[in-house]
Amino acid sequence: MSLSVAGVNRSCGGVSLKDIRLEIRSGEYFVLLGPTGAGKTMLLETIMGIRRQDSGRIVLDGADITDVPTERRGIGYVPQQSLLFPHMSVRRNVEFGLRIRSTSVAEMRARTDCVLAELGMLGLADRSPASLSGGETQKAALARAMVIEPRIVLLDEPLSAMDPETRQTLRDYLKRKQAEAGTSFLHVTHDQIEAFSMANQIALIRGGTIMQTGSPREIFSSPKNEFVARFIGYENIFEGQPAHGADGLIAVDIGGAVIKAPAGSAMGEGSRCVLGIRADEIAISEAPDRESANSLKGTVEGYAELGAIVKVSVRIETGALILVALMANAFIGAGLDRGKTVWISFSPCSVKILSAGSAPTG
Amino acid sequence: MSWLRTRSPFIIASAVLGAGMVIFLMLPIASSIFGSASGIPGALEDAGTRNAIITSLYCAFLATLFTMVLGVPLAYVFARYSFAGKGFIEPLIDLPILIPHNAAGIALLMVLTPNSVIGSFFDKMGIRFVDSVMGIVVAMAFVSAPFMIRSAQDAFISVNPAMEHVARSLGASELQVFRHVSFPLAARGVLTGCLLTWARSISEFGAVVILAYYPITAPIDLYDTFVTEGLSRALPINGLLILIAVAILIIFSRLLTRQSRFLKPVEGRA
Repeated sequence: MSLSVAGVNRSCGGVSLKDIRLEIRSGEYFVLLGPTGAGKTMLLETIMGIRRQDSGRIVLDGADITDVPTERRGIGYVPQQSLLFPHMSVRRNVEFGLRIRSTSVAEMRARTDCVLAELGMLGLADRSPASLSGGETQKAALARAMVIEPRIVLLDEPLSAMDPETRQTLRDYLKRKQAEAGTSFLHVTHDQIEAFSMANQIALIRGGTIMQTGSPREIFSSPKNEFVARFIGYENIFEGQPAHGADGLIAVDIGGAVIKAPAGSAMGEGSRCVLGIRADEIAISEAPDRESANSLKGTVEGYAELGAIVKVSVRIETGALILVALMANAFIGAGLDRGKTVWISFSPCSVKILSAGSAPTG
Repeated sequence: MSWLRTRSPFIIASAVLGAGMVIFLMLPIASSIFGSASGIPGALEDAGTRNAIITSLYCAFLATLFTMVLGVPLAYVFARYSFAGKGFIEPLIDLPILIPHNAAGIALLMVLTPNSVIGSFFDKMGIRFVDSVMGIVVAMAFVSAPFMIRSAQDAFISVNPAMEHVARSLGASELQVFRHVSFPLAARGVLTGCLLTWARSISEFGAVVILAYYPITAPIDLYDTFVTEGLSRALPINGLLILIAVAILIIFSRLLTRQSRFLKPVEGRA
C-alpha cells in the first residue's frame, strides 16, 4: 500500500507542519528522522486522522483519506509509550482490533497466537501489561497493531528506551514483515543509526519542514544542507570562499587554510559556500601525506574516548578545530598526546558541499 | 516517649492538631450512637421510620441512576472537548453545592410546580413532582449531581487520550472507544461518583422538604419527630440514621477496594 502526503500544512501551538510532501511506496520502509520537537509525531497523528490538517491531502493507495475517520483508515499505529490497555491482558490487547471487526473466535485466536509467537510473546499472553518489561510492552503494542493486517503501519519511536537485544528482535521482525507481507512502514525516530539500518527511504524533518528525502545512501553521501549534514554525523562544518579550481576540484579558503573539494555546479569564485567533512574520513599522521590533496598541519588539543572510537580534536594552524575519529586501537598505537604536532589528511571526495552561493542553511 | 524523641516538632504538632480534628468529628457521632443505643431497636420497629429510611434509600438510588445517565456523558465531554461557552458552563455545575439547599428546593418548585410551563407539561403526562417520589428524586439529583460529574470528569481526564487514539486506529468508533477503553478505565472514578451521589442524596433535607415533603424521607422523619415529639423521641432515630451512614461508609470502602482489585486484570509478575 502506498501513502502520499501532499502539501500538508498544520499549525498548532509552537509546532507547525509546513508543506509536507512524502511519497511512501508500497512495501517500503520509510523513516522520518528528526530531532525532538521537529513535528514528527504531529505528522503521524495527522496521517492517522487524529489531528486535522489546515490544508493538503492524504492519499492511501490511491484513495483520498483526508476526510476519512481514523477508525476507517486501516492504519496501524504503535505509539512511543506502547499504551497497552491496562485493564486487559496481553491477549485481549492484541485481540482488540479483531473483536471490533467481529472476527470469529477461532480466527481471532489463530491470528493472535501467530503474531504473538512471531514476537516471542506467546508465553506472556495471559499476563497483565503492568507485569511486562518495557521491551515486552512494546512488542505487545506492535503485535496489537500488526494483527489487524493494516494497510500501512506508523511507528512512533518504537525502539527507543529498549535494551539492545529486544531492539534487534524488533528490527528483525519489522524488516521480515516488510519483506514477507509487503507491509509499508512509516517509522519515526531521532536516532540516525536506527534510521539508516532500517530504511529504504529517509526524510529528514526539522521545524515542521522536510529538509531532504532520499535513500540512506543518497542522504549519507550527499547531504543537502548543514542541518542534514550535522544530523547524520558530519562534525566538521566550515564556511569558506571558493578561490580557484582545476581538474574538477575547487580550492576553498576556510580562513587561511585551503581545502580542495569537488566543484559544485552552483559554485563560482567569490561566492560563499559551506563544506562538511565526516570525522571518520580524516586520517591523522605524524608526517604530511604528500599524496593527499588535503593535508593540514595541526596540534592535538584533546580527545574523547567513546569505547571503540576515539575522537581527537586537532587545532590547525589557522585556528580552526577539526575532529578526527579513530578506532581505539589505532589511537593507542599513534601515541597522540595533547600538544603533539600532527598532520591530518582527507580525500576531496570526503568534502561535501552543503550549500553554495548563499549563506549557510540552518 | 521514644516516639516523641525521634519525631520533629512539626510532625508532633501535626499529630496533635489532627487528633483534635478526629475528636471534633467523632465525638458528636459517638455520643449520638451510644446515647441512644437502647432506643435504636425500638426506632427500627416503628413502621413510619422504617418506611422513611426505605424511601430515602430507594429515592437516592434513583437519583444516582438519573445523575449517572446524564452526568457521565457530560463529564466525558468536559474532560475531552473544548467548545464555546465551556468556561462559563463548567463552573455552574458546582452551583448546587454552593447555594442553600432550601433555596435549591424553592428553585425546583418554581420550575416543576404544575402551574409552571415545564411542570404542566409533565403533569399532562401524569408525572408530578410536588409531594411525590419523583420530586424527592429530582431534589436529591439536583443537589448531588456535581459529585457525580466531578468524580467522573476527573476519572476521564486521568485516561490518556493517546490510548483512545490507539483504539481508534484499531478500528473502534468513538462509541466503541468509550465503551471498551475510556469507561472501563474511568470506572473507579464513576463508581466513586455514584457512591458519593447516593450518600449525599440519602442525607438531603433542604431541597426535599420544600419540593416533596411527602412521602417522608429519613431526614424529614427525624426533623418531624424532633419538632413534634421532642429530643428524647428523636434521639433513637438520630442514632439509627447515623448507624446506617456508618454501615454505608463501610460498604463503600469495601466496594471501592474490590473494584480496584477488579480493574487489575489477570495474574501478573511483580
